[in-house]
Amino acid sequence: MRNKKITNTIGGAAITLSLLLLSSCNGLFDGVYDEPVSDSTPDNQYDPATRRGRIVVNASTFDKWHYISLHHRSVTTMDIPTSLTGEWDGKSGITYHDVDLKNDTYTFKNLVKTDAMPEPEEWDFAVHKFDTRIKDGGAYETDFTSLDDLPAASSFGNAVFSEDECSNNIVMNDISGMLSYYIGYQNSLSNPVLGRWLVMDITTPPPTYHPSGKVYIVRLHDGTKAALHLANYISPNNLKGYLTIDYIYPYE
Amino acid sequence: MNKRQHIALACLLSVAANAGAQTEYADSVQMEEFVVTGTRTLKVLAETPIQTRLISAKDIKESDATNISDLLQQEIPGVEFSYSMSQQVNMNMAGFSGQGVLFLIDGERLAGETMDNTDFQRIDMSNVERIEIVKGAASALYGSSANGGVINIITKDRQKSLFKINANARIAAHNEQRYGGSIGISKGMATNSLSVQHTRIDTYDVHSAEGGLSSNIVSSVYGGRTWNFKDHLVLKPCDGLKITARAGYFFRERLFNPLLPDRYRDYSAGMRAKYRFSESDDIELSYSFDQYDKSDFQKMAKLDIRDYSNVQNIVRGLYNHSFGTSNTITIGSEFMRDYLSSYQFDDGAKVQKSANAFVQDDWEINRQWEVIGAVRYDYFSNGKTSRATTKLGICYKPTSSQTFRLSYGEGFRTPTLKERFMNFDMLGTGSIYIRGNKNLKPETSRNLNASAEFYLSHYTFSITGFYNKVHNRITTSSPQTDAESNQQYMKYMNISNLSIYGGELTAQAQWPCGLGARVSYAYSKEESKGTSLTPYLPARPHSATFKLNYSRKFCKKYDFTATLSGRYLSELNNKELDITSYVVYNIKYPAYSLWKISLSQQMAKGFSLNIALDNLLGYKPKYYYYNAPLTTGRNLMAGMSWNL
Repeated sequence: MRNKKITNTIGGAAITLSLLLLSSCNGLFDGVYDEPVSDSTPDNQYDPATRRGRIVVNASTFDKWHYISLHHRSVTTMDIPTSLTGEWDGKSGITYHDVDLKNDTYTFKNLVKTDAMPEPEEWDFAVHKFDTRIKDGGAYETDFTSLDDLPAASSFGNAVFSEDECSNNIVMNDISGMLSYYIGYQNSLSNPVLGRWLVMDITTPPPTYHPSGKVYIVRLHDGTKAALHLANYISPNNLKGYLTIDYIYPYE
Repeated sequence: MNKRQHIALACLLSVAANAGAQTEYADSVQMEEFVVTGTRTLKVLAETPIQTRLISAKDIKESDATNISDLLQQEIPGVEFSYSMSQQVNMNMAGFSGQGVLFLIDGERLAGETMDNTDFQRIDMSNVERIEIVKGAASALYGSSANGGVINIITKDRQKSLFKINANARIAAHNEQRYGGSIGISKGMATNSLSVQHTRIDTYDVHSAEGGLSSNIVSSVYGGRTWNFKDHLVLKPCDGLKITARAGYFFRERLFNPLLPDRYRDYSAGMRAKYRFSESDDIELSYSFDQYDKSDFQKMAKLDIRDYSNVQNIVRGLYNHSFGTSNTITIGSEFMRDYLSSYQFDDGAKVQKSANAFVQDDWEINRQWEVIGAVRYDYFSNGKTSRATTKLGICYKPTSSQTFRLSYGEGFRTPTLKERFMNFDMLGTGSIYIRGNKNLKPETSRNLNASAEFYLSHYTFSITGFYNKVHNRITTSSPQTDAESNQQYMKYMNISNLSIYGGELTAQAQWPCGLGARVSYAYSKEESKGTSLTPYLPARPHSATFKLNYSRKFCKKYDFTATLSGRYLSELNNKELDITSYVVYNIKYPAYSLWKISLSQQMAKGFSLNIALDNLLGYKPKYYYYNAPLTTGRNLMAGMSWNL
């Protein structure tokens, strides 16, 4: 009787052990997690009835601007020039600084002259990583955090729209010296208000990301307005700068 | 198992079963307690030939620590927990960082690491019976990673009553909360214990003065939450046979990026059968499964994407045979399959299989002299490397109140799969990479340890000296630029010889009136050629811990314990390479001390109330460097516990 009890106990343990061994070599519980999907950008969505749309842009690299036309619901991607092939326009280039982020100081080191940044014929605003530009327009930050709650455009009659500003220490381009904070910035326009929709902090590596969550109203070059909300900035495969932008256009 | 070990086992069971009746002397001075880590066999602490530092259940209870890092820093001088990039925790014990000290739970390895350190929050302190610390190389018994020592956490597996319930809670500053509970049932041959613990703390800011370093400084301490479930089953179907089975689940979320919190999960299970089939023979077979996963939770998209999984399957056998009453031989062998899938690899998951065999002989020549020796051979499939290590210990006990020990041990740490195959975009910007190195050699160490212990009535004194010679320490290079791709990278590499030496002094007392005291001091010195490239800070040369406690039982329904504890860490002068200018600077990290007072009251019906004031003197660092305590001042903690 005693021996049978021992045999059963050890037998049960051995079977359990074997089952565990067979099933667990490369791990268990895959179902706990979501499966990463392709980072290819989905087709843009737009509902004419509600004038609501969604644009997804893979702006995860520092070497491109992505020009978005809300009128045509299209995205055109263009590389940032890194060399000069003709006559210099007197302003385009990559400016290298020694950067002290803690004290927010930039010590000029070098300017690499380049061709001018090309632009498509039709565009309304552009994104580069988390930087933004608005073509002959401006941006206003609301206190709203969802397009669903946004009142009519007339509620923002007194809004002051901030236009793009030229800088040589905002739009990062060459980050090969990031570890030693020797960074090349594109001499470029950028919008200081719309750019607040997400701030990348590289003060202490690795970078941290701080989205504002706010809805921005953008005045376009033809006087029409759009409401923009950055719904996400990460791809399913964890690419930072994979922007999902929800919008209302025209916003009236 | 020899006669002495049988007696020891019987004593241990008796001690466990009658913990309440144990004298304060034995409980506090500890020398009559039992340890297993130094020899892999049960030994009385005062008589084990390998010096072992014990943190007892009483110490753990008095500390009221939520995690192992708080407890070790409070109890052991020379142990410091600091931070590294991304505010990941890094341990330093007498000059060895997390990758050089082997952490075990009930003798089993823990899967997974972050910045070379195990996840210390996996350990639910309410489940811990005792912690055994063996400093110095111990690879002859434990294999790779036991380069600088072994910390073995022994969990509770005994219960004297049929039914037991515990519920506990604690709150502290920064909305820190801890809730726990357990249910234990013991009937016939079976005892089962199920426990759960939940902790959480908010993110809080710390503010440094102007003028400090611009790097290696903390401005926000990231909050988070944990869940820890554990079930432990013990079966004793017949005399001599003990089967234990366990299963656990751990979850941790860290708010490094509030919209993209890091998540860590661990699934563990294991079974162990120990059978004593004669007076002089016992055998133990065990299987352990441990899976440690990391994922990023994309709050906006509600996607939980796993990007790291380390799965360890370990099968082990251990056989003890006693020749008479004075000589015990231990033979063991282990097979481990180590699977690692990581976002830091760019060419798929990696697998390493390793196997080892070891033999140890423990010979009590007479009542005064004992000699222990071990030899072990390890083989690793990845890189097809092997390693033989040895250990020799001599213990001399001229009288019952004196113990002298001398030991020599060898250690090694084989390069991990990460260190061999990593290709990691460190900043996520494609600008700087950390590269593995397939040509890494194992890091090795040789340790010489000498100690003396004296027991006089209510007092215990110990003095220890150690010397470690480390070869081929594995660390990362300074930034380099790839000539072909112009990409900046850091690479794992071996660095030249390193010497670590030091000592420790401990004095403790426990008087019959209920008053107890302990003072421990540790000195550690690292010497290496050139500038250290390690991303971790070296050990502080001087450190000390203090403890004064008073316990009194006023009546059957009320007893009271007051504990004052403190720790002191001396200043640290370190040479560090500024990566911007490639200039080596002398950086001075200031000395500091932290004190804690706690009051514990045991009341009727199993109810107890604990109040503690941590950082009693309100110390605030001028600069919150990676090795500064991340305190914002005094921290009042209040907790309760209820036992049925």
